[in-house]
Amino acid sequence: MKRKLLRQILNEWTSNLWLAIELLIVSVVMWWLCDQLWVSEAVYREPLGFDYSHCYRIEVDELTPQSPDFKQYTDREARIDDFIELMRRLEARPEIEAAGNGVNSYFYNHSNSGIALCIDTLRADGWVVKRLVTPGFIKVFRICGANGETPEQLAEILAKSPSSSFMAPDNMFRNKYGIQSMRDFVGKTFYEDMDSSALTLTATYKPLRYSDFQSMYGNETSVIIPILSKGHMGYINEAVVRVKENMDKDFAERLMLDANDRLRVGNWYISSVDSFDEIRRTFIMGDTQKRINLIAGSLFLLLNIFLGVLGTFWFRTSQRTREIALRVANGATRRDIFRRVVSEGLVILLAVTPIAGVIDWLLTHYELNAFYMGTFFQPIRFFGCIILVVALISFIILIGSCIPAMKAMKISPAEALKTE
Amino acid sequence: MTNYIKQAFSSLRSQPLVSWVGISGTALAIFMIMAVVMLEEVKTNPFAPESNRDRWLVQRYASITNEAWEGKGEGNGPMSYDMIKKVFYAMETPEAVTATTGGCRQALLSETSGKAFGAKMLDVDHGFWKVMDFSFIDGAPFDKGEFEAGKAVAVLSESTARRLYGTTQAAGRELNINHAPYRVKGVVRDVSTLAPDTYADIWVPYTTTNAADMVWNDHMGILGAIILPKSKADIPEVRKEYTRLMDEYSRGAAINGWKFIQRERPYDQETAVNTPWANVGPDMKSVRKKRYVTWAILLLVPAVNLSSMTHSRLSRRREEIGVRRAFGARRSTILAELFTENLIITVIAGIIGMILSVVFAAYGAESMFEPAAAGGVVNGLTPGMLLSWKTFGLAMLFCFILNLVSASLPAWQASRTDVVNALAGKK
Repeated sequence: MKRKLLRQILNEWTSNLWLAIELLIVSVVMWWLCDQLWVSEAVYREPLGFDYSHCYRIEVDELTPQSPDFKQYTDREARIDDFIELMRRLEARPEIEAAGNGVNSYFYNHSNSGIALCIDTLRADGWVVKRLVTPGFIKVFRICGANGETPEQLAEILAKSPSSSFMAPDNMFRNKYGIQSMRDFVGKTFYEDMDSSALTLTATYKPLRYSDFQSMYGNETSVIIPILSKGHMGYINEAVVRVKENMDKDFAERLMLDANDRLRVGNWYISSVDSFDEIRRTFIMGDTQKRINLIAGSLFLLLNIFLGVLGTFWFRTSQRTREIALRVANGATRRDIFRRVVSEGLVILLAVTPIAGVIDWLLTHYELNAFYMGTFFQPIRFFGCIILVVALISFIILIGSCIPAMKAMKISPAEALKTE
Repeated sequence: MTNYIKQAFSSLRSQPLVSWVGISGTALAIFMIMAVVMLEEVKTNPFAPESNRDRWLVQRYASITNEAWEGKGEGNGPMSYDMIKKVFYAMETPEAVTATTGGCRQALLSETSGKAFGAKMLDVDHGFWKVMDFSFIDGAPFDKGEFEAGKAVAVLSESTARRLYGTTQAAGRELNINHAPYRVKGVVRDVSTLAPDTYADIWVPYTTTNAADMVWNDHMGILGAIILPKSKADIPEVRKEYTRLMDEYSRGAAINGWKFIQRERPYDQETAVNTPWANVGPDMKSVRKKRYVTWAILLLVPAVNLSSMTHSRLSRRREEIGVRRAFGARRSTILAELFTENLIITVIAGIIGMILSVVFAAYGAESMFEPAAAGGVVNGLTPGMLLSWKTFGLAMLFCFILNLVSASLPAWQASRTDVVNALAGKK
């Protein structure tokens, strides 16, 4: 049976060659797509390090001299006091669990400040985001300490820290130097590379990711620097709040109802309230779109395989009517006929898989596939994707050759051989 | 030609399933390629109000470093009002120049005594109305005098005007924006969220807001610029003037140790959309390489598929080709006929694929396009934004390439059929 099958495949080599070429191209491209999706999914599943649920960004703005209500502050401190009062009123609302502020710091936001921190010969790698925040920020996003500190405890540490201090993620030196934890550096003084100012590390926290599609093993990391003095508060441009679990409903609308009176202090007013669910959705839209495109590309290739197999075997079955009839007349069961038609496609796929595997390996060798956890080649990912691709294509071949196989099963020997 | 069409249709009818497979495969390939092209074109195709995308030059950000930083860092971001004035507003060769805050931001809007609601506001200048192509339903844009005097005037989108006043005839009426009184200067047609440089609900002079004061040093602030050359031919001249003014400005900045990192700015629209990060320069070579590889794969797989189908279809017609050859038909004639016949089928499938892509874009816009503006939802999509003669031409070109790749080899083999063997039914 097997020898006959191979002989038949060889006899039809010209049309099988087309199918083999198609399967080879699709196997390689599908492997690449699968590799990209694998990494994208693995990154997506990494812990974010913060919790954005029930969180809102409140856009706080200042009146301009155009407004009749504009207040000309006589001193800088009075302006800050008004801002602090607005934040106090916000925090006092029954639905709000925590409120915080930051400068270019909130999550899902491309507008960031960077910092380069060094200690001895060690320098934090890549892009280090400087999150200049008040202690409330930690409670809003429920950032946890690397030693198991709760957000409240971590916020307490930040509140007691001097302004020339910082908190670091536990993985700050992990990718570059293989230093697994920053705990041993707590209490030590780091230097800002650009202006040599000294900052003391007060605590470490669980790694914070930049977004759902950026890995903690990637090039971005962040440090937290406290805003404690009124001097720093003048630069605050962000207000974030966490709403109690059962109080999300119409929160933004209810807050905006008070925007014109209770939530206006001096020149400060609230212009909008946006949920972090929505901010996140907009922020990751490009990456989500990329993922959809990869899936659409895979479906396109699989559909092509389906059409190719369907067309080739339909045509082949029509050509082999008499031969199939002869085999039925010689005792072949309908199941044998079905199996023969279906097996042809699968054997061709198995024949091209090792070649596709070599090309896949070349793609990893020349670093043309996805980079993850410091490498282009991870055995589980590499072979996992090959197995997945073979399984998917086999399934499509099975469906595509089913229709011609059914047709072949229905061939009546008497009818087909009556002219012989 | 009529014969070719008849032949093509009878060939399709003789093997309905194989024909269906062939047409579906081609339509699917064209659909995918057109969808990919549309995804790119919607960011670069000119459509109102961004009708001049094909010739404008964009500089959203500047990059700067300081001697004191000893090469260890740089600052990236939008520009200050001072830099805009001294470099962009000082230009004389372009038709117009505009500076805006780039993307819209949230503003609190209310009719003088009414309930407040949030709206997207874009801070712009008087040049904005010359560079962009807005349709005014009522009133007019604000002018240079009003902009420079910081007059509190605003242009509203028609849906914002309706929401505020229940009508689009709102020019001259009063409203509050961020608790400051403004007067409506004009009302324009709504703008799609796919037009990131113009999308907003309300446009105000940035001299009336705090946009010009928001700076982090003399050169960096929150403004970006778009230069509109008189024609495409004027672009080199405009670049020359820009470079001269930028050099002049850099010399002034160098007194305090500042040095600009130019990164080939300003960019044309295609380069601008493919260079999203201020700290990374353009790499159009790799963008194009990636694009061509994607197109090649999207074409190659169906081409192999179709070649296989064509090969099978033509091997059934060996006897017919043998007879025609016996009666004196030349190989080149048979090759041309088979090729044309296949092209007709491919074009039919191509048109189906193109219609499919437009229908999908219209109904699946939310999942297909990324709204570049801060609305988060795709709206205002019109066929005119997606379909252009260029797109149509591309679709036809893809059809042609697909046909060439898929039909060439089988048609060439068929045309070389040995007459005696073909008539005897041998291979």
